[in-house]
Amino acid sequence: MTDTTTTLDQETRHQAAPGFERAEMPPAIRPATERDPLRARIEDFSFYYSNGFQAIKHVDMPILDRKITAIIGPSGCGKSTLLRSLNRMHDLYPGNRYEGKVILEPEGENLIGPDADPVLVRLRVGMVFQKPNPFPKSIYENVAAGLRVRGIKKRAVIDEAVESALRRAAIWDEVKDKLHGSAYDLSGGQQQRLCIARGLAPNPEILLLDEPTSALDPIATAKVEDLVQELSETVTIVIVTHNMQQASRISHRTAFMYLGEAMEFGETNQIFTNPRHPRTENYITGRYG
Amino acid sequence: MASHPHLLKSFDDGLEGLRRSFRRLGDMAADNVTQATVAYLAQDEARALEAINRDLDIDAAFEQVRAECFDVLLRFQPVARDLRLVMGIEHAVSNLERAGDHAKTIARHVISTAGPAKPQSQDRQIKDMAGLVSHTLSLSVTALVTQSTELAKQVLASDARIDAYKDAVFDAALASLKQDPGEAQAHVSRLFVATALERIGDHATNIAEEVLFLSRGVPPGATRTRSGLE
Repeated sequence: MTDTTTTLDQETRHQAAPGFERAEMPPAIRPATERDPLRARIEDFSFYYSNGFQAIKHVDMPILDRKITAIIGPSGCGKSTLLRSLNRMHDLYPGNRYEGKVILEPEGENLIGPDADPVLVRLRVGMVFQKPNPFPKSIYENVAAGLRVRGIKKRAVIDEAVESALRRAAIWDEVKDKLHGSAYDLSGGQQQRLCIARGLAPNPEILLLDEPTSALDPIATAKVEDLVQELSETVTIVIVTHNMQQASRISHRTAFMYLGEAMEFGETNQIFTNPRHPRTENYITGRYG
Repeated sequence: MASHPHLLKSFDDGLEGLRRSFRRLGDMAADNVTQATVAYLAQDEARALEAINRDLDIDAAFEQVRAECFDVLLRFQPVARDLRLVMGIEHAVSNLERAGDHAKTIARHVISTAGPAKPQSQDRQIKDMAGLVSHTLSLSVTALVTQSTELAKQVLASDARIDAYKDAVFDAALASLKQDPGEAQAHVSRLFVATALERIGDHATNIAEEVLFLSRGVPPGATRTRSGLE
């Protein structure tokens, strides 16, 4: 699936949207210095696919601790590519290349540095995808999987962590009596919350959500949105969404990306009421540029 | 950038319809200021009644624009400049509706004043003041519809001239009260009319501040300055 998406991204990214001609684009607006504590700093970050195509161009972005950061932008702008970079998902395909830094705070560890183990990075930076993708296993085993990767074997420890993750994902009451039933028997919305529980189980520092509600109905979407807001009290969240109302509802900071660049980053309220960059304004108001 | 059309044509149509309805309400309110003052100065009861009744039309137009604001908010969930425009109009219509109420107050003074008063020098000032106020109110509406900060600044600049007119009418009316106490009701009525016109000027100022908010995204209060006791 990642392979297909990558190909589509590369095709669409070569062409600017109508009115978004590259030559007339003013320079990006750099993020202001944040006073709130950071969980991560993306610094002069670029990403190249194995064919040499530069999908992300010198992005600087602060990720606030225990806050929700939304990344918006037209298809092919690089928002999902950036998200996947944060937990080294591109390492699964040889030839892909990162430049710059993704510094995890307060440790100061560079997640894309040569010393960082991609598998361990993925445990610290969890990911939930657009379509719910539970493993073909029981509900219990789906949540326990990340713990087992971490080397945890004690049954009691795993039991406790599974329950805790399912509770944090607000699905415990719905599944506590069928933990060993198939995850596939759950509804789409329940499956997505199960995937969130799976991401939460290893107790990550950052949880990445790639359009987590685009395949869900409004009721399931509302549950996931409420859940994401509750979770932001304990875990840092970065969400990619095409739904601008969703970004304005749930996020604290919003980044607008275009053609691989972070054109504007700011408080969500400011971005949606008084954006500084004309491209941001044109995109969020649904105008040609 | 704002001149670029939306991808959704019905969104542009909705905003254009809103601007049109707001302009119509503004024209009605400004025109009624003139008509009410003309009726007052001529002590023309029939004309005053027309102005009083026209306030009902202004109220109906006010409700219509507010309904259109809700419609646009509901259907298109505007953000950024579009959101500020809809919110600006939603605030501005209240100012126009209140301006209409003040025009009605002016017209009511024809009915409540017992017979035609002797013409006074301040009648000329009231006429000129009403002309300036009506023009300023229209200008504020145009400023909002065209999102022109230049016109908004002209409106803000007019406020001091309107206040000066009111002060001049007050000084003259108070002097006349002392000299000619038999015409007290007419003199006092001039004070009320000048006050009503001054308040209409304040509503135009409020609308102009909305225009500055619309263009800059800075809340209106930030453009005000402290000037001591007034």
